[in-house]
Amino acid sequence: MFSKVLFGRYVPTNSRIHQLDPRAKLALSFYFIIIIFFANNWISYAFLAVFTLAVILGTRVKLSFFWDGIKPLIWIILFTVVLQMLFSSGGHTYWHWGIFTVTQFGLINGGYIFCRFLLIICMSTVLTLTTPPLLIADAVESLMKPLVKIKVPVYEIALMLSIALRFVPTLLDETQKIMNAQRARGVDFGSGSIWKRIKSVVPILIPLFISAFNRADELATAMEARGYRGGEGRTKYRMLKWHRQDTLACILMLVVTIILAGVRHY
Amino acid sequence: MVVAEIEFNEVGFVYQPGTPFEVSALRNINLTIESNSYTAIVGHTGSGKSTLIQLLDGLLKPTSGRLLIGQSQIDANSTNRQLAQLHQHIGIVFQFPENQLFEETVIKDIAFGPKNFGKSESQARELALEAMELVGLNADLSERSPFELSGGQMRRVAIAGVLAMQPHTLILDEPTAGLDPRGQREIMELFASLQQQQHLTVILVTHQMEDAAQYADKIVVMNHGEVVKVGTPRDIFVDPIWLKNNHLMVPKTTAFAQRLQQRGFSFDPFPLTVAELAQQIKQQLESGS
Ligand SMILES: Nc1ncnc2c1ncn2[C@@H]1O[C@H](COP(=O)(O)OP(=O)(O)OP(=O)(O)O)[C@@H](O)[C@H]1O
Ligand SMILES: [Mg+2]
Repeated sequence: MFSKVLFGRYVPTNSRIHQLDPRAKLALSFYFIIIIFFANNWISYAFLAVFTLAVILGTRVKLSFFWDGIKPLIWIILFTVVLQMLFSSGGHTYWHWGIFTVTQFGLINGGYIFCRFLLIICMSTVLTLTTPPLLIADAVESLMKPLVKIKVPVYEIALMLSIALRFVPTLLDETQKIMNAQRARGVDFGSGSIWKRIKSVVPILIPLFISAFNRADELATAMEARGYRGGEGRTKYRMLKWHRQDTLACILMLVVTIILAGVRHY
Repeated sequence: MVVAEIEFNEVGFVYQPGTPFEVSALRNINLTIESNSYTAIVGHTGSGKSTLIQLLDGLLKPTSGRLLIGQSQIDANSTNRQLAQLHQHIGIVFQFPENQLFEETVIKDIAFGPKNFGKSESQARELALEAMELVGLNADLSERSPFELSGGQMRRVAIAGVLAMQPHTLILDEPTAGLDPRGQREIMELFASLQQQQHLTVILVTHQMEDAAQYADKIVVMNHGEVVKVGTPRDIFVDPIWLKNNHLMVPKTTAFAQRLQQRGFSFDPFPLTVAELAQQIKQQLESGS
């Protein structure tokens, strides 16, 4: 099941978007997520959707693969949206039963919320799809650097982030291995009562925690043995470089903002 | 005792098909493994050995072709139920199996498998104690936490956990990796005696050519997801150039004998184990060649 979710996975297709500076991608994705909240009618949402689709096509990842990768998340959004619709008020009431009401405004709001979530998920998936996790961590460090002045532990945050990102695939691998070992010993993960299913998680979680702690311990030892003492003055093997294409991407986003501001008044 | 014969019929396996991460791990595998045999699977890293044995235990489904395991046939359309049935009769010891331990006590962990397959608490305990004895674990360790044991002892607990399910086929994925030489030898001897005395079918995945040469009746050589050669240890290890082309090492004994041959010794049949080699050297020295 987890193998399907695309969010957080890097797919090296080496498109134009892959080649952008990670700082540009990170900042622009954030910016885009913010302006999504300024969309206020169907035209503006349609415009943002078309733009998002163009960006997805620009990653050169097969559209069907992308869709499969976000589908599991869409179910979660739909669930929240439907809940939201059941407890709404305002406008014409279509349906009423006990504490549940479905109203006109509720439906419209639900539709907007769905679009917002969908766009946010698509754009953040594009970010992780086109940027290796460690570069994202580098970008965070680089963008947060000014905060060092006000005593924010930027290097530590960046280190924690890159270690966490680095170990996500390792832990998923480990989980798969442990699950296989326990399935071979007769654990059935997919069936039985709720209680049985909850119990079947124990033989995975305990070995997983133990191995995660062991790994953390080994990593700390290895870092100390190689003389790590915090980020101050450390040089980087991967240097981030700002190119013309990154400036162009920023200008493109500016154009998107202006058009959005225009269609808001329709 | 159920006599199981394993047969691979044009089996192929692809990881994550239809995605950019697609990896074709196995192609056109045709292979027969007789019951009560000792088969070694060798091959370069990434050649598909672990994938092959996961298919055998129903942890993966073939994406093409079919497998016959005893009476059951497994193919791309098999249900999870059918796959789960395989786990009971086929025991699998994974690489670094001590990572699967989770119970509070050694005995509980070993009894976990049998209990999952419907044995009562007391029967499972009985089986667990037997398995502990088989792997050479002292019975007074049974109430200890498995996490307080040494690496070698943990390995034995994990192996006992598999043996306690009384499988008729035992699959081993590099079972001795990371153990000290003495521990390695003891564990390998244990599997050999299980095969001979309890008539288990043993399938060993290994990078140690010495183990393959010494214990296996038959060696399967894999390369890039295909079976490139099947034969007795002698068939496989006589040709050092072919071995090198398939990224395999020559067993140390064989390499030693080949060096001696350049200095005027002659061996027939070619020695594979230290015992055979010593025997033949002794003979030739005594006859004064
Ligand atoms: N979960 C997975 N997802 C995708 N590809 C995989 C997965 N597991 C293995 N592979 C790929 O399948 C191929 C065969 O892997 P496998 O683990 O069977 O090799 P192996 O012969 O056991 O290697 P080793 O000797 O290193 O254990 C490799 O190319 C590997 O990268
Ligand atoms: Mg392997």
